[in-house]
Amino acid sequence: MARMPTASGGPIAGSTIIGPEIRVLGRVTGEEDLHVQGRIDGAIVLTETLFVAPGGVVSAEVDALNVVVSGVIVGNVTARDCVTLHAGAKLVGDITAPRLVIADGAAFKGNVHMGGEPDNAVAARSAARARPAPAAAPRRQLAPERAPAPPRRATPARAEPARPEPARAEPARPAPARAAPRTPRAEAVSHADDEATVIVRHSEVAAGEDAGSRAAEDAAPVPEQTRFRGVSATRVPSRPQQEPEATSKGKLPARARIPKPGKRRVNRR
Amino acid sequence: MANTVIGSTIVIDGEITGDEDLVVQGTVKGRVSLRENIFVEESGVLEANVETATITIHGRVTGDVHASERAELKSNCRVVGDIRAPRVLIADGASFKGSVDMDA
Amino acid sequence: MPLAPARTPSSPPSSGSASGFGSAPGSGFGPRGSTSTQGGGCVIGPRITVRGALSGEEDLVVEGRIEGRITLIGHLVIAPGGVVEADVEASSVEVRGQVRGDISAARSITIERGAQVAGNVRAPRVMIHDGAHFQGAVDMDVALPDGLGRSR
Repeated sequence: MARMPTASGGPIAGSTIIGPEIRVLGRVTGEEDLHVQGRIDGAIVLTETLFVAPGGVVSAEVDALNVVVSGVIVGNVTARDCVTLHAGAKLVGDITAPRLVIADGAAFKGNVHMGGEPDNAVAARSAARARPAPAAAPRRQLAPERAPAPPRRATPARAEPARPEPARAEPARPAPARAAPRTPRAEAVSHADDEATVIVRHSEVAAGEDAGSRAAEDAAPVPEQTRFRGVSATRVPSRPQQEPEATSKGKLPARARIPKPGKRRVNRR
Repeated sequence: MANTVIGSTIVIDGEITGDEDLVVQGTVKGRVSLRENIFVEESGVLEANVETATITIHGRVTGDVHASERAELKSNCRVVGDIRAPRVLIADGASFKGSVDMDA
Repeated sequence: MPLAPARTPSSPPSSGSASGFGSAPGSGFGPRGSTSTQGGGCVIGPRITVRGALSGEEDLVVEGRIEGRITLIGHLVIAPGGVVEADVEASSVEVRGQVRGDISAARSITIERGAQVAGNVRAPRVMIHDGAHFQGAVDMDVALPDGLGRSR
């Protein structure tokens, strides 16, 4: 892997080790590296790197700068920089991180949120800009907000990992803005960055929500349809959560929206 | 050096159980239950009920301590709670508030 | 990555072919099932767009664009610049370009640096390299130690 994340905490503190015969039940927070050779159940919030050694078991929600796994994690993992799964690592849960490395021999099941849109050049740029935002935010604040979120998001996606079809049918509710945004997306490339990101966001909505109803509405040619199949496959899981945004706004997981607040902010300026 | 170290910036809120030495430089709240030795270093804070074989305290402990072999309170330590152990050593300069029970 | 120099002659019929695009043309290049991208297989050139279902039994390199569905017994490479907007099934898949759609592979899926994948991936082995962009779910078999099972 590219670069091994190490402690930047300085000499104030060495690193913390949970030995192979130790089990911690509860919440672990700290500002130094944590090496788990034993077992932690509960929650881990670190400003530095979590290492799960071979034989180490973490059954917890994890929030850290980096997460380097050779052992087992069951739970959702959020890293501000990088998640690395080495050979032998097992992870079941969702990963939110701008960088993710999965080595051969690692086993992982769950959703991945890297932020940003992989769609095209515009998206790539906006993603790059959106990423610094969460990282710059106060770490301590982010953590608690995120912690309760993952299970909710996780469930719908996992229930139907490979079948976008049924889920797509549900959200086929009218969305007035749908037809319009498609076209601007193409133009986005030539626009100023700020505008571009806004447009990308709109088209996301259109792509995700309308895949179902589009079929009836405009007799789009085959390729248009198939294009949406791919999009909706990834969008669908988050869709049900996004709809009730108005009602449960405050509770919405920060992590789920990482790329979006950045874009919205841009929009306002 | 012991296998398990809770570093000075680490806070554990919950329960630690296990079978090896534990060095506490940070903060542990809740409960600690070990069959080996606990070392609470100067920066260490234990706000927990403790069960262990031996405990050596340089830092602060708030809670009841039950050591099956020995409890040692070093100078400058601050302990609030009851101590139950067959051997209890309290050094000059140690601050201790609570009862000692050496019968067990 | 190494691209077969002889891609032009092996290019399949261009954009118009709607569906029923059966076994890939340009066959007879190399032994089928070879996992190497060199030395055989079909190449969809950078200026080619395929819309519809594509199936075949040899290795395939996509430098152009495929929209629809890919079912391949063989190694599929989406080269840098290649765009696949399709659900993909293959023996093994190596992504260096863009994929929008679900990928399922009998052996392995590799998402290389610079690749962009939006969709769910499923394979016994999934590798994601640093610098790749992935959005979606990963489904590998995870044998957790006892007592850690989650009903996921």
